[in-house]
Amino acid sequence: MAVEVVMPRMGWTMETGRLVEWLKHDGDRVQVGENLFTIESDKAVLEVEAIDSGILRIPPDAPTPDVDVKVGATMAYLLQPGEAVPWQAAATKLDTPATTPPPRDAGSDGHGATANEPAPSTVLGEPDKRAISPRARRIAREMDVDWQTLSGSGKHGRIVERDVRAASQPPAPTVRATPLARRVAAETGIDLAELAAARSATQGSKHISRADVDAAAASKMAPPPIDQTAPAPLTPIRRLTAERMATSAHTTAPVTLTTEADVTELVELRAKIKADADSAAQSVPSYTDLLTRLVALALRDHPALNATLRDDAIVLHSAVHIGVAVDTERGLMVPVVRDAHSKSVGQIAIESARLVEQARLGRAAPDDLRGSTFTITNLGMYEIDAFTPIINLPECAILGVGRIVPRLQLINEVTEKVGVRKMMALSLTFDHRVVDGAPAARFLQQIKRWIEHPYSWVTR
Amino acid sequence: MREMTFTNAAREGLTEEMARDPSIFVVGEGIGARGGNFNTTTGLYELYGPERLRDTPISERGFTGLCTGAAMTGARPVVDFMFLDFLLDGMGELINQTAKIQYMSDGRVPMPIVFRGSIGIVGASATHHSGNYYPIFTHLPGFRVVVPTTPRDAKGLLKTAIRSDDPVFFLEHKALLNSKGPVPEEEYLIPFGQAEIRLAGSDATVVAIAAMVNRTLEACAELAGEGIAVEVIDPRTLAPLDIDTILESVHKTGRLLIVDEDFAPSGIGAEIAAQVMALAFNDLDAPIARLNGVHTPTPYSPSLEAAVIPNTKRIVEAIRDLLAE
Amino acid sequence: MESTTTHALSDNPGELGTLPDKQVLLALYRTMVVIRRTEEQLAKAYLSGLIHGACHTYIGEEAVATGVCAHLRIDDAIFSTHRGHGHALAKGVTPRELMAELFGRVTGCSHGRGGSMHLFAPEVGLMGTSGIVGPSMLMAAGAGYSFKLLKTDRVGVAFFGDGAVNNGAFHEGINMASIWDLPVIFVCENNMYATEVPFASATRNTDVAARGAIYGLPGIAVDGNDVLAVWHAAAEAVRRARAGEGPTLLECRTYRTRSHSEGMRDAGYRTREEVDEWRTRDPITTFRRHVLADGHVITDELARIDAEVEELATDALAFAQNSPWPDPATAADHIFSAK
Repeated sequence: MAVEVVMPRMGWTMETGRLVEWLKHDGDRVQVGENLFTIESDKAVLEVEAIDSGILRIPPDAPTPDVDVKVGATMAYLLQPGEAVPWQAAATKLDTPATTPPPRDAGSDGHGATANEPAPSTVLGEPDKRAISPRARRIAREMDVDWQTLSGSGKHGRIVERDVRAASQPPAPTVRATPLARRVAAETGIDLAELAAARSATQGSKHISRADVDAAAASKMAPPPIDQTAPAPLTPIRRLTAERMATSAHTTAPVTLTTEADVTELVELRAKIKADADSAAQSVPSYTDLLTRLVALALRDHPALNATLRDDAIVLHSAVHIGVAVDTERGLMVPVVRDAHSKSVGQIAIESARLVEQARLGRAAPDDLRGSTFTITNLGMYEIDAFTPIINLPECAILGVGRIVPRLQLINEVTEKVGVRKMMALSLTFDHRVVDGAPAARFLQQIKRWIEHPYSWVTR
Repeated sequence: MREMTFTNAAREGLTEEMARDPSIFVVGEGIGARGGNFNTTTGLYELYGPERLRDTPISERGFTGLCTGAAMTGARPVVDFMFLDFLLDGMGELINQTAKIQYMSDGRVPMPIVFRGSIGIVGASATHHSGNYYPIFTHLPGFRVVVPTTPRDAKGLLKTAIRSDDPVFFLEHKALLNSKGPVPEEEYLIPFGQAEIRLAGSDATVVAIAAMVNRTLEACAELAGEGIAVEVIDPRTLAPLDIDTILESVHKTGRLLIVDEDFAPSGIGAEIAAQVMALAFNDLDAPIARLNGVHTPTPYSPSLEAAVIPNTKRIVEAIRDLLAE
Repeated sequence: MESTTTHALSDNPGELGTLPDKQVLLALYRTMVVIRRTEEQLAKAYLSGLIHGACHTYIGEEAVATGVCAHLRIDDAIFSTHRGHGHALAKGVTPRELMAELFGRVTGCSHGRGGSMHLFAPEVGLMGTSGIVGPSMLMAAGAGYSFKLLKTDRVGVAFFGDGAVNNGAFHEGINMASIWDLPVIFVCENNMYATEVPFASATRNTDVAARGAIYGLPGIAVDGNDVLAVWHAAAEAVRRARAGEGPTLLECRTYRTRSHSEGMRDAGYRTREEVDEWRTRDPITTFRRHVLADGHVITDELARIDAEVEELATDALAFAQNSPWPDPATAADHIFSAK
């Protein structure tokens, strides 16, 4: 009896996966527990092991790498010696639902019996026959979207219109503009949706005002050269990021507070730790590690910022799990340092080093990539000062960390002493639905003070 | 606007036309002084007398053929079958003569005749009083087929049917006969081949036939609560069929369901589906779905009867299935 | 039923009463000869492959259509059968139009849509011949209903064979015409065979006229090969109809002397002797003999008609052969009214 090898569900939210590579080849003998193939799901690359033994047979129409495959879809078969390949039966089974509606109950279609008839033989054995609705195919053509790379959200993975539209552009948030801005936009031919999309990176989902439209109209006079490169299909990570960012922009009421902290003492502290480290093997905490610990402790004092809006209730989390935004080749990932409030800086440093490494290699486990209650995003290495981070739902706040710059500062107002201090910009975006401005400001204020006076928290 | 029942509105249309044109006469069993089993002619006998409200023997084939001859020679008969099932005895006359005379005479002999009768599965009427049969007539060249669903349409379409020089089937679903709705006071006609959008929506298109229009609207009200906006199209006439309105809707929604109490095989839904695929294949975002009555003679027992008709719940499910495609 | 009368069949038309005037006699003769000569041309054309479908000739039965239609006006309506060439010609369709129709040409009376079995010429009251046995009776009753409703004195006539007598349309059509006193004449051409089925094997009672009593209308049986007998009986039937006295059932006992359909074998169901015996009672030759013997007309007058009709039939053949085919683009025209 042929055993189906299917795209496994490797995480709670996993709907589709992508084959990365086969670790066994067509015809190989496979034992239970041996790794069969690797998949990329959400943000992780995982190895999938065999749960049965047999000879691996990969059908000609099996999913190929870089194609999204629904969880449960057949990838291959494990056969016993001498057993015939089940291609034909498998093709029928896969294709039938896509071409013939399933039988309905007694009250519906008198044709119920036809659903069980085999699919026409012409569809058998065609390689990589992906289901797409005619409408989706037409729209893909019109929008110049390569649908072959898309994953379908229709029944049996059929690519439908919404999949193509989602792929052709990141979901545009509903444009929020003042009536006057709308009128001026109409008069000056400014596309508000485009303007909103362009602004969302820097301004969040703030209302578009007349001034914004005027500015856009002015810049329209000298249009930038159009990028002629072909649109790149969305990777699962890009799509997930797009969805999450859009959802955040749509649903939260973000407010960003910025301040500057004097990090001179913190820099000195880190330099001492680094100097004391006896070998390269020992992890030296990064500024992010230090901030992870610091923020975790601050959140214990300000639980309103370690909260989630769920339905009509605000849930305050007792544990603090800090998500750390990491840029990888695959895109933005946010590995999670669990229970950061109860871990030492050293533990955090070791753990985050491992997490970041795995995320960059695409090997993070799904559980390492979810469940954070607060996120830190550090763009300091790119010489960014302040910015407006987007809240990582379901969290209610995110701390953006800017670069450290030496600056001439007034050290003592009384003595009017001036000195060169190392300064760092801090940007806290919080969801005003969940927390008000003052408590958020107090939280940011505490972070600023602790950064400036490390002794007050490293001992805790 | 005043409210009337479907039957009263249709009867008002009939009497207006009879007053206007003395060549119109009605034949049927019990349509004279009795006024018709379904009150299709109540009160008309007193106005127009026995020659224009002609009670017949139970000779369906006979008066089908007779009225065909009358239509060829200057009169405008309205044949009232009471139950459309009774017309089946006259099928040979209908198909071989009525439908073909205009063509065979190369347009020189008109065929101004209306065949009306009640259709549909209602109230444990059992298998000889529950038929729909319209796909038989839409299949044949030479017939017009009208399935009104509102009192307003019943009157406006019946008047158009009577004025038409073509043979028209005017089919009245029994579930609709007592339904009430607004009917204009002033005279109006409703042309054939113009579908009515009963509910506008953008998520899916449902074409519903006859009594299924109201069932579908109930289903859509339920789905509207979940933010699902369905467009419901009432074709009103099945021949000619206003495919353009359906195509326009499918262009918008990408999804089509046809809800029809009548049987699926070779039915109206099959025809609509084929046309939409031929004319708007690239608009389709999902396979076209059909929801039909069960392909069986109509049983009597209410529990069996209910099992063979699409109800609101089944329509809701079918729309959900369509949206999940 | 008191009103039902059955005329005795007679070999001698003179017994039927006074002869009509000479112009009528010549017209009856001419009509029969037109039918005969035209159909002889049709039969030849059929053998030459010029006629494409079926061709049911009326040869031997000309007296019936001729005798009945002689009383009809152009606005009276007749409904006929698959054997309808004679009715069409007797009602006023020209040999040209009939021939061209069987040749499938646009100049045919149905513009090439009908052929032998679907002849339409509403301009002269030919409301259609039919490939189906029975409907003529219902549709003629309907014409009668129209004419009565519209308060005219027009009449509807149904021609049908003995084969239709056992069809439900006979019962339903005659019954309704009778109960509503419709101006209709039901003309049964009893030629003794439904294709090849003897009438006697299709019914226990072969007296069609006697069935009139069942429905309460006059049932008259006449010698269908005697044009004058038919003419006299039809005169009364048409009078009754125009006077609002109701329908009449006219049984004309006759015989077709060619096969059911051109090209079909004509053996096995009737004897050569039977056919020969009926040929001696050919309606044209017996009529000719009779009127000449009585001195009402002279040979020259009939010869003139013979020559004229001969030319008419020849001309019809040439006309049909030279007529254009219908435009294929019109193949689906007029399924519905333009209105």
